[in-house]
Amino acid sequence: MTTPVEIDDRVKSRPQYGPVKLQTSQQQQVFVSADANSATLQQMFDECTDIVGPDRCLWLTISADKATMATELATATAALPVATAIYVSGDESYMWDVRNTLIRLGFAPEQIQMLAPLSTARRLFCTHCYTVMEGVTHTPHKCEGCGELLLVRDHFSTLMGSYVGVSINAEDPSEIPAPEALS
Amino acid sequence: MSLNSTDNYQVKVVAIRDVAPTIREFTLQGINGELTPFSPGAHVVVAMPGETAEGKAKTWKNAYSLLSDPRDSSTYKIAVRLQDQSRGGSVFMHTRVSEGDILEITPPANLFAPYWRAQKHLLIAGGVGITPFMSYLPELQRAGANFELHYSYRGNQTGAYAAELQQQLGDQVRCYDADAGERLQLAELLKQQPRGTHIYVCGPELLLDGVRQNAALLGYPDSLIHFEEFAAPQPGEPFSVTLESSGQKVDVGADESLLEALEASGVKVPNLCRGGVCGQCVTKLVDGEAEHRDAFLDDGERQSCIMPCVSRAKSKGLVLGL
Repeated sequence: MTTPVEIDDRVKSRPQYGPVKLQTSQQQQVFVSADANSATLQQMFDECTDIVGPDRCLWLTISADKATMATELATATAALPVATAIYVSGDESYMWDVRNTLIRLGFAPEQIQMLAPLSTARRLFCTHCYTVMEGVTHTPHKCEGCGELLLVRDHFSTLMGSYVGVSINAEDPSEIPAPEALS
Repeated sequence: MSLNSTDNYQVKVVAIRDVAPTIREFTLQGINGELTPFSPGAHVVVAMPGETAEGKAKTWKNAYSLLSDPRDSSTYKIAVRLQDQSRGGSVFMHTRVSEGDILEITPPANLFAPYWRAQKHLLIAGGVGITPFMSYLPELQRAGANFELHYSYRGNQTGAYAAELQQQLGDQVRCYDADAGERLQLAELLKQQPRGTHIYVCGPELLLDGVRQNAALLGYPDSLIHFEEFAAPQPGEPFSVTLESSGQKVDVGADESLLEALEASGVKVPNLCRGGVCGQCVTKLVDGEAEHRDAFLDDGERQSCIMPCVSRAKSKGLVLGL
């Protein structure tokens, strides 16, 4: 018996965001975003409130600044039970920061669900000088730290919530490829 | 000289005592060197050379949790419950082993280690399932970890160490003697656990199922619950297997496991837990229908693999990729 093998040419580390389902069997439902501009998250919150009642649903507005985020999440989740379902909406890097903070606080990865990112903007990590840049929309991107022209790869670091950038013209710095919009 | 972690250890039984009506505790000392320290939750496999009811020589190999302090390498302790439906192992330990005897054990292996990043450890033990937690407790205390032990048993049969645990741990341990009408309310217990709690369960199948069901009802994430569930292989209908490479045929009796039958005919299969959880003895299933009794393979893998330590044949015979 052989199983047909399909070759998948996507970069494996790039996260995929499937449809998010309400996990209403969990005791507490938590909805996290940086501001109230996620219509989908708001819609899920309303639907969830109808199903399990307002007492079991919690809406959290959490800062995108990492340090503030850590304090805010620690306080806001301190009294939550183990059986908590968490839904996060926002830019991709924001959602990963929230997820990583929650895991450090003791939640399991499978109880945190991320909605489709609200924009195609990426956080970019320069592999040459380690500078982290926010809101990158085109490749190549000039590194704000070392000035290297970076190819924005699809390779994603879940720990950094960031894509990886590598020099695109190391052999010939005069070669400047035309910018392409990221998807 | 301390023993290495790959060769089996020869140990001397230096003390035997009854710690509950059906549970006997054995203290083991290394005779060809000092034993190694181990990690909390570790077990050893004890080889028990005896004979079957028909008088045929047979070596049982059962895994037992180490229950002494993991940092104490002077002796190991194990506790054995006399099983109602013993295939011979627990009867051997209870009736044939005396102080001064030499036994062979494997070095410690661990399939049930604590998750040290947990903010709280909730330990749930049933009956002789207290044993792995006996090695958790000294380490959790040394680490200053937040933990609670809930221990249910039938006082007329089990309940080993209950009194001393209550004395040492005070409020951190709750005992429930079912024979005195005390019940552990799993739903209530699981409901009130805070963020960051990891749950560890060891005990009879009924307790494991109870935790599984209640956790599922509450929507607990699976990765926060850790089970120690190896059980002795259960008997079944006799069957035979054929080895693909040599065509050799091996008969498996009603009371022996497929792994034991293979070993008895000189076929070496790597193994560790001998209880269907670790995955070491996974063997290719070339033909025939297996009765899977392990907790390791997923449904896809079950089409082409078998765990010979616990699983048997549903059809009359199997062909193994050995």
